[in-house]
Parts: sequence; structure tokens; C-alpha cells
Amino acid sequence: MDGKNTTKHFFDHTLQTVIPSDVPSPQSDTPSCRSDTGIEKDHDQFLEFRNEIKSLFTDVTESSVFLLYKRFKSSPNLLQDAINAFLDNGNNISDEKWHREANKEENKLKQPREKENMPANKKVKYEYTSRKKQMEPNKKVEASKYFSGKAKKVSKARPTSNAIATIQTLSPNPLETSICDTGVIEEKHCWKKYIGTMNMSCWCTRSAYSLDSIYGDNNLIFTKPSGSNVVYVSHQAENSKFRRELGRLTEDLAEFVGPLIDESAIVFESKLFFVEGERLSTGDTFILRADCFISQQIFEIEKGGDNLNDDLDLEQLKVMKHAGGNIEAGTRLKSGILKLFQKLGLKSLKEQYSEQKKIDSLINSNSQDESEFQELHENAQLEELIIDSTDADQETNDGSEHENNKDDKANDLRLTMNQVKDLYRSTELNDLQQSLPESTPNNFKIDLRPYQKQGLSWMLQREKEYDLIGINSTAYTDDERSVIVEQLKSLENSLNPLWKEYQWPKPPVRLQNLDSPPNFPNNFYLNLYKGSCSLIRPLLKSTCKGGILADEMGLGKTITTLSLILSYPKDLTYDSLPLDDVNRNKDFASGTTLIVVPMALLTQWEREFMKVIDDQKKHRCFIYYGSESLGNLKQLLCGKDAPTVVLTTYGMIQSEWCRFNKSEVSSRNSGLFSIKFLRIILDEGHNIRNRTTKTAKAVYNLRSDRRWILTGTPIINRLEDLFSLVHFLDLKPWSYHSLWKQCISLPFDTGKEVDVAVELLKSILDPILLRRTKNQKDKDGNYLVILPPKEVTIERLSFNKRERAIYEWLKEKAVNSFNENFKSEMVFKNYSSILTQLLRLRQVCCHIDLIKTGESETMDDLTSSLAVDKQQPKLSTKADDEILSLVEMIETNEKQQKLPIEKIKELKEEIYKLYPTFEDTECSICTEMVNIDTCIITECKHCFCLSCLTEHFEFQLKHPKDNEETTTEEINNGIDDNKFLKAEEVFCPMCRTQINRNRLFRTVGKKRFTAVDMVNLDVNESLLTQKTNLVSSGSRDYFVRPFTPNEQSSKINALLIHLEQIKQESPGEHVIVFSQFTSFLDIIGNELEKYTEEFKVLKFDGRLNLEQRQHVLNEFDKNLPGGEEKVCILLLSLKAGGVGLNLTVASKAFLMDPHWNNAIEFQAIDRLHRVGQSKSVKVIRFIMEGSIEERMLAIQERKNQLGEALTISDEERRKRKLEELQSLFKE
Amino acid sequence: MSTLPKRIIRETERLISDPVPDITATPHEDNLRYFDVSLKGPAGSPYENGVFKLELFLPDDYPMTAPKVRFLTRIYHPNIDRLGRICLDVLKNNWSPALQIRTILLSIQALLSSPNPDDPLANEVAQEWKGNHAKAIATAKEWTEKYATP
Repeated sequence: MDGKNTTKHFFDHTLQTVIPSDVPSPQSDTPSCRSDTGIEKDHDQFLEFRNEIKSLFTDVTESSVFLLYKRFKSSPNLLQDAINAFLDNGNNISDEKWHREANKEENKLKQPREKENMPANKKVKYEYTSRKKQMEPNKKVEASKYFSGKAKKVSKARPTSNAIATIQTLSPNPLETSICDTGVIEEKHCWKKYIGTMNMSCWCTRSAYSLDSIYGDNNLIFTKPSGSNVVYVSHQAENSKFRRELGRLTEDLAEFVGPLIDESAIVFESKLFFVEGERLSTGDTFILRADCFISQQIFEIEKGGDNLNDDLDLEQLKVMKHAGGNIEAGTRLKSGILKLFQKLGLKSLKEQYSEQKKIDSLINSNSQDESEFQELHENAQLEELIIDSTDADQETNDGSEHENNKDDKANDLRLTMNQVKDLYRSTELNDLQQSLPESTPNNFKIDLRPYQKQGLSWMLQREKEYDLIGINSTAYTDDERSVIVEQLKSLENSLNPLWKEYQWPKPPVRLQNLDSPPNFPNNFYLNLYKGSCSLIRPLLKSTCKGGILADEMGLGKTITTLSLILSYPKDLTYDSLPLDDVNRNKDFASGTTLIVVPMALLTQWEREFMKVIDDQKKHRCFIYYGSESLGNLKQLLCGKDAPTVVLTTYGMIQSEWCRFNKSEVSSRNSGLFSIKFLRIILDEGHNIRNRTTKTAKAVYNLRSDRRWILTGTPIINRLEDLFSLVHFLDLKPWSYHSLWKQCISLPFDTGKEVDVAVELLKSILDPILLRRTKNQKDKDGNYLVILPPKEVTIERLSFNKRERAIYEWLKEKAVNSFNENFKSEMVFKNYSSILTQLLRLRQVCCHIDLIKTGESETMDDLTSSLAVDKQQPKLSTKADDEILSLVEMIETNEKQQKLPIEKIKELKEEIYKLYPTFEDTECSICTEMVNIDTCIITECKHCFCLSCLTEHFEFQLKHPKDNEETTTEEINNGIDDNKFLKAEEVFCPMCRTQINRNRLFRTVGKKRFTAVDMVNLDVNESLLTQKTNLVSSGSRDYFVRPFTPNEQSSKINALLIHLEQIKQESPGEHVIVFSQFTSFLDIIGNELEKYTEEFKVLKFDGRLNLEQRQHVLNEFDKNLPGGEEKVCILLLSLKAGGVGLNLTVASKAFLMDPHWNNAIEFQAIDRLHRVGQSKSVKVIRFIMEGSIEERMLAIQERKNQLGEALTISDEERRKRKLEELQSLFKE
Repeated sequence: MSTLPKRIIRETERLISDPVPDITATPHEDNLRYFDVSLKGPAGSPYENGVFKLELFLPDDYPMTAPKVRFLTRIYHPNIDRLGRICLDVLKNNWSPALQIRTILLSIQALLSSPNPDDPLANEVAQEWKGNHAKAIATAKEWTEKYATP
């Protein structure tokens, strides 16, 4: 810096050497000398002056000469000033005019005048090329352009010689001291502080005959008439009252310099820096160099206001509100200052820091970041989807509102991926988090993980319960603890995000003696929205207690929050007040935390609460939900024995708010809104992300001392989402929408000043938001959470004959109609019928019975993921009738082939007689011992493995023998009903008699039957011909039942086989079976319930009410009694069970059918694979081979690869949909 | 080639551990589906004392389809042609997956004992067998001595 400054400085002097030597030299006498001269000398001087001026201007009048002399006689550059004045005004010189001007100037200008001695080395010539190097970098382009044009001329006029040599003799220069002397004197009253130097280019508007006087007393003044955007550059000599306009700043400069002059925010000390040639003519460009000083005045603005309390924030708010109009100056000043700072290269400490960080991270950048984000982004997308569906659940009684949400969302600009990425990352990279102390709550039954303990500390800090931070932690001594607490306290009042912190730049050497007052702070602060400055750190006094806990899904937000509640369940200061204290409010529930949760999570919260409390009497949980909740809440909560936690749902709050608004007495006096809670916690807080919804509005109106939001995804699409959260937290001033809109939303939407807004947003969020991710590492470099491995396998199944037949039939229809629609470009018009067809195909993949029910429940998710128009697809009844009759035909045909029931009984008896045991019985096809669980017995009573015989059937049917009647031609005859109706008969491998596929038996092993079971089964013998057959013969260890290969869906068969295996390997296991089709779950349920002795079956779907849900989850959570070795199976609807549920008790899951969106499936899997899971998770996804399901997989895959962008045009969306459909209907 | 089904492995093992009398079947080292078979002419038949070489191949579909078996040693038999192909119902339509290499080879042995000239493969032989039985037997013996005597 120093070197640069010196060169600038000497450059300054080389400039003066431009003064042409042939111009008459101005008076070299010092003013003091002249003041002593007598009248005679004065007269001589006048005569000399008159001669000179007359020789220059023949048209000058005597009176003008006199007036000029009178005016300038005290000037050291008498002749020059006079000439210039004459050039400006001609002969119309009047005394008064000058006097007036001079007075005006004197009043206006408080700037120190530089006393400049005439440099002795006048004749030094300069080399213009040396200047180039010395130009400030940001001026380089302009300057070089300038020079290149004029270079020739300049160099001709001023041949270079010994410039460099002489230049070196110039410094140190006496000039410096003189400037500084005056500076110090003047600044006693009004200080100014150097912030930088810049070059400015100007247009000359008045010809200057000689520049000598200017160089001699190089001090230019900026003036700006109010109401115009022009900045005049004038010259005023020392001791001279006459100010002469030289030119104007170029427009781009004037635009931001103007407001600064208007507000006297910046003091410019400018010098003529470069003039090309010897004189200035109108239209010429010249460059001046301005040292910029920030004036005290701009600091004064702030001092006037009370230090940034709420009032001032409100004031600011008002300013923002009336953007435009009378606050024009404010914003212009602001942008002026920002621009100036930018030009001066002045950077805030934060910017400097982040730049440094950026460089650091570039050095050790890791690609891992990317993948982490990818995951995060997926989660975000996913939660959005989930939220959409829960929205639907919750606001079903308010359809119109929901509709609004959607429209709203579609119309709004969404954040680009990068922006979201940036924001998320910024919320994650917080050094503070690493250094948070760990707090362990008292009387908490669950051990918190280290990061949860840190989370608790953070929450306590946000609630300003400093005494509790770090308690029960062995890591710190009491002293250390208090240090930490003090540190946290200091962080509490963070820098107001409206302000930026700057360090005073070091002034160059020539200005170094310009001392500031003693104890002058090192830093100053700039208000980004007003442009005012402050020397005192403007703190954001946050009165808001609470914040956003935004830990990623599965990190245990619930537990952390519960630990906070139990750490500080009661407002102690309030409780210690005497009962008759005036500060006691009758409606303050000082010992109650209200937790607002989505309906599905109500019981989960309760269960978690019960898990962590150690004394059920001390801490109670009250569920405020449904009609039974209409008791007097106020009495309950403000009384002595108030429950610690009240759980309620968003729906309850919304409906109660409606009642409250209708001023129902009961709700006014006893409902949720009649009470001020100690603390409110919003779980899945993004539920209120749209501030216009009734739910959000209702939630805003709840009253409490502390407010918390729990959410995995604080930002979903728009920054408005975040506003709603901030508004709920009542984080002033950001909770004012207009301010938020002005400072955050608008910059993002319009793309103007995005950087500032991002910076601001980060600083708003920093103190109030805590986010940790699974991939984050603690200070020891370990991941926060290490989950056991997860294994997801796809199991491809093939259709059984009946399924294949129906599937092919449906598929052909669907493909034909799609192709027709596609050709006539009617795809989107007939979208709903296409979707119906797709649905039918998917249903057949699961179970044929699904299409019988004509169920359309799954349309919702189809439309949400695929539909363009939201119209509910109509069931194409004609096609449905057709398919139903086909199914019926096939089924009756099968029934006809079946053995009559008497024959079945007879055969069973024979089989039991023939095979007292299956030991030593070999399957003749694979030559292995038959397994009792997979053994098939033919009509002719021969035993085979199920798989072997199935293979035999398939092979024989596919390769008909020549001597049989069926010809291959007939088989290949396309889709023919007859094909389905033909009996499946092959010969028995053992005895070659014809065996019918529908007349087989299979054996089932019986294990540890109790007598009771036997009795029960015996009673139901008639029913059991279809189910399990049991003969009360103790010696046998199996029983036989008819085998019906087509009856059961292939998927259920596969599921049964797996469950059987699980039962064998690890009885007592908990298993989850997911499906999108609740009717499929019903079928599975019915099937599994047949095996009461093996499986305990539970079902959870959207049709259950709260109590039922709770019951189901409790049952599932229970460990089975020791003696029972059943497998506990939860049938879970993909939609109802997608959010929030914690099902870590299970470690195995089956996804019966694929969803259009992969993320939904992963979300489901995450119910098991989350914090608390101790076993490795195994998931099997069933996919029907060669069916639409395989193509859905392909679409999932493609979507994952594309990483579906958040911003995508409708047109593109349509195109993609069409492509997807085409791929689905591909032959 | 796909992995060898368990059944083939088990059959091979059993053929070695519990061989069929008068029959040997050894798989090729480089192709476990290909067997070299030697079969002794059944006693009391014109083929007595002869040792006949056959090749046996298990197709991919095995055991859903029958193995392919062929005589390598020339044999005078109405159901076996010049190329060694065998006309035997269990090798064709009457194959059942319950049958095995062992049973098939026994069937072939049985075929040597009781030729079936009514369902011939080698027509000339069959006619001879029917028309001039003694001569046919003699030829068979002659051939056995000529080709099948080690």
C-alpha cells in the first residue's frame, strides 16, 4: 500500500510539471508579502495587470479591468484568475455577483484549504508512459483508452528527457504537513475519516486558459444543485472567494456522487489529476483524483435515533414501506454509498472473511459436498410431496383453501436450485454449532446424543435460560461453564443484519497525519438500507425467545425438544411471584408447553413423551383433540396441577380460531386462544409456510412466551415460506411482511441485489436457526449419526397364468387406445382415461381383485405426479365391464376344473394314509428331499417340489407334444379367450396320468399347535377345506390343503414365502408391508390372518381415526410375549405412513408396489432406517416382471438422474409427461 | 454355459458312487453335461459280451427335456440306426422329468434285450428281424463281435 501511495503522490507532482513554461508565470510572492504592500505598489500592479489583460483580450473594457483587478488583487494568481473570470463572464462582471458568490461559498465550504507552495522544480518533464502504470486498477481501462488516443500528441508536445531522475528527488514533500495541519484544526469540531481514493473523469464545461493556477492551488470542489443530477467541479483558490466552474463529473459518477454531496455524507478532497495538453477546452476530458472522507454528519443521523430499539426498526420499516417518494434520498444515499464503497474496493469484514473462506475451500475442495446436497435436495423435494399429501389430509374440509395454495405455489417464482443450495449450506456451516456446549437435562430417561445435547444448549440459549446451559456435563468445570455462557450471551445480541461492519482503511502516507480523535474505534458500521453509519456496534436486540430447529429428518428433533421442555418446564420467575403480584396474569399457563403437530404424529409425541419422563405424576401430557377436549382449558392449565405438555393438531387450532372469531363464548374463555402458554412448539412447522392459509393465521394468534418451530425443511420453494416461520417467531423487524418483501423476497424475485439479500437472509437465520444433517461431522470428525446399513433389493416376480392373461388383455387395450390418442394428439385431453388404464395395469400387478373393486383412491397420487389437468379420471365403465366379465369367465372356468369337495376329502385321507411322514420322500424332478412347506401332491398322490412341478407345468404347456391335439398355431393365436379357458393338464412325471393344475394339493407343516388351536380348527373343518386342513392325528406333522396356483396373487405368494422364512429365522421380528392400495393391504391382511399362529397382523391406513392409529402403533411397538414366536406385521399405506412415523422397531420391510416417485418409497424406508434403528435394514421391493412396474422403475431411474429441476416450464413438463407415457405404453 | 443344476451334480455323484451294473457313465472334464457311456450287452441277448460306447448329452432344459443319447459303437438293432440314433419312447414323448440318466441307460440296456421291430428306426434291420429272425440274430452277434468286443 505504502509503495503505491508514494507513487501516486509523486505522480501528483509530476503533473504540475505540465505547466507550460511559456505561460506568464503567476505571482510567486506569498500572500503575506502582498498584504504588506503599499498603495503605490498596488497601483503599479494594477497598471501591469491592465497591460497584460489588454494585450490578451482586445475587447476588454476599462471597467471590467478594474473590477477584475479589484476582485483578484489579493489572489496570488491574479492574472490567471482574472483571465479565467473574463473568459467566463466577458464584460458583464459585476461586483455584487462576486460578493454574493463568495459569501455563499464561504458558508458552504468547511473543507480545509490546501496551502500549496509552488513546486520549485517547475520544469521537470514527465513521461506519460509512466502514468499508465500508476493509474488505479479500476481506472485502467478508461485511462488507457484515453491515453492511447492522445499519446502521440502528448509525447510530441512534451519530449521525454530526464523525468525519472528528477521525480525521485521529489519526496518527501512539504506539502503533506501543511495539509494535515489545517486538517487537524478543522476537525476538532467535525471529524472526517479517510475511506479511500479514487479517480474520476470529468467533462470540461468551461475552458480554462491556464491550468497553472489550478495546479498551484490544486483544490477542486464538487457542487451539486439540488434537484438535478449534475455534479459540478469547480476550482477555488486558497484565500480566494471566487469559485470557478471547470466541468462536470461524468454521468455515471454523478449518479452516485450526487446524493453523497446532497447529504454531505462524504467529503471529497479532489485534485486535478490529469489534463491532456496544456489547457482545458470545453468538451475535454480531465481526470481528478478524490480522496474520500466519510463525514461525521452521516454518523450523526444515527446518533439522533435511540440505539436501534424497536422504534427505530419501525421507523426503518416505514421507510421501506414507502419506497419511492419522499424517501428517495434515503435509498439514493444508500446506493450511493454502496457504490462508492464498491469503487473504493472497501469490503465489509464479513465479505473479506467469506472471500478468504472461499479461497480456502477452493484449496481443499471436496466433491462430497455435491452429493450431500443432492441428498438434501431430494429430501426437500420429497418433503414437499409429503406435505402436499398431508395438506390434503388436513384441510379436506377446506378444499378451496387448498386449491389456493396450489395456485399460489405455481404462480410464484421459485428459488433456483443453486440458491436453495447456498442457503442450506450457509445454515449448516456454522462454526458456533461446533463449539456449543453439551447440556444434559435432569430427570430425562433417554440418553441424548452429543449433538442433541448441543441442540439443547442452543435452545436454552435462545430461551435465555443461561443458567441451565451446560448442566450435568462433566466436560466443564463451573468456571468454564460460566465462560461459555458469557460467550453465548454475547452472541445473543448479534450484529443487526441491516448493518455491515467495516474496518477503516489505512490512509496513504500523505494523509497519515490526519489524525482521528483519540480512542477512535477501529471499525465502523454501515446501514445497508439507509446508508447511514455508526461507530457503535448496532446490535439486534432480539426479544424473540425461540427459533427454528431444522435438524434433518431422523436426527431426533422430538427428543431434543422434549429435553428442552423438561429442562425448563415452568416459568420459574413467574412462579416465584407472590400470588397477588400485579404481574400475575390469570391467563398465563406458566407451566405448560403447547405442541402443535400433524394429526398423524399426535400419538407418537405422546409416546415419546411417556418414554422420556421419569415421574408420571410430575409431568403429564394432555391431548387436546376431538370433541372430548372441550373442557375448560384455562382452568386446567392455569391452575395448580397443569400438565407439562398439551398436544394438539393444526386442524384443532384452525377450527378453534374460526370459532374464536365467531366469538363463541366457550372458546373465548376457555379455548386455546384464551391462554398464554409458556412455550409453543410447531412440529413439522412448514405446515404454516403459506401465510395466507387459515391454519397459519390461526397459529399466529396463539400466545406464548417462547416459540419454536421444528421442521426438516425450513425452505421449500420460496423465501416466503421462511417468512411465515419468522412471522410466527415474531422476530422483529423481519416479522413485518413489507420489510421482508422489500429486503428478501423482492431481490430474489427480481434478481436485483440478490447477493445483499442472501447475505442478509443468512444473517437473519444464523442466530435463530439450527440445522444439522446426517452427513455432518462433529468436532472429532465422526458423523453425527451412524445408521446401520440399509439394503434394498428388487425382487422380480412373474405373473401366474390368470394374472398374465388379464394383464395382457388390459395392456393391449391400453396400448391401442394410447396409440390412437397419440396419433390424434389427444393424449392430454384423454389423460384421465389413460391414467385409469395405467392404474388398472398396476392393480393387476398387485392383485386381480383390485380391479374388481373399481377402486379409484390412488388417483390422487397419480394425478399429483403425472397429471396435467387435475380432473378426476372417470372410470371407463365399458372397458371395466369387459375386463370384469373376462375375469369372471376365467374364474368360473377354474372353479369347474376343481375337484368337488367330497373328492378333496377323500383324496386327503388317502394322502394322509400314504404319507405318514415325508421323510425319505424325494421329489423326482430335482431328486431332493421334499420340504413339507413346498411340497405339492398330485391327484395321483405323487410328491413334487412346488417349483419343480411348476416348471414341469410351464414347460409341458409351452412345448406341447406332437401327439397332443393342441397345435402351436392355436397357442400363438394371439389373445384369445379360449386360451385362458383351456384346462392346464399335463402328465404326471411319475405315472403319466393327466394331472390338472387346479387339482393339486399342497402340504403345510404344523408346528407346536396347542390343543385349543386344534379344537378351533376342527370346529371349522368345513371352512378349512379352503384353508388349512387338520386331522387330529398326532403322529403326522403336516396337513394338506388344495393348491390353487391362480387364486393368490404372485406378490402375496412371494410375500408369504419371505415371511415364512423370516418366521423360521428370527421369530419375534417386526415387519412392515407397504402398499399404495389400501384395498391390496386389505387382501394381504385377510390372507395373512389365516396364519394366526404365525403372524400377528396390524393395519395402518388413512381410514383409521386417531384412537385406532394410536392403538395400532402401540400394538406394533410392543414386544411379543416371550413364548410366542410370531412375526409381527404392520400393513402400512404408503401415503398415510409416509410422514413422521417412527417405526424403528422393525428392520425389515416389503414394498409391494412401486410408486411413480422414488422419493416416496425412500421416505417410507426411512421410517425404519432412522435414528434409533439398531439392526441393519432389509427392504425388498416386489416388481412384476415384464409389466408396467418395470417401466415405472425405469421412469424413477430417469427422474433420479435428471434430478427434476425445481424450475421447469409447463411446456417442458408436458413434454416429459408425454415421453413418460410413451415409454409406459411402448410395445 | 449356465451353472450346473443341482440335480445333474447329484446324478453324476450317484452314478459314480453307486454305479449301475454293466454300465459306466463318466462326464467330460470340460463339459459336465457330456457323458461317455459304456454299456455291456445284456446276457442272453445277441449283444452279450459286447461293450458298446455311447455318448450322452444333457440339454439346457434337462430335466424338463430328455437327454440326448447316441450309440457310438455300430450295432445291429431294429431300433438303432446307422448313425447310432435310438428309437426309444422315454427319450422322446414319454420322457418325464422323473427319469434320470441311470434310468435312461437301463432302458437302453433293456432295449437291447428286447428289440421292438414293430416300431423300427432302421427299417432294413427291422425287416430282417421280422422276416429272418435267426439271420438277424446272427448278424447282430457278428457285429457285436466285430465292433463291440474290446
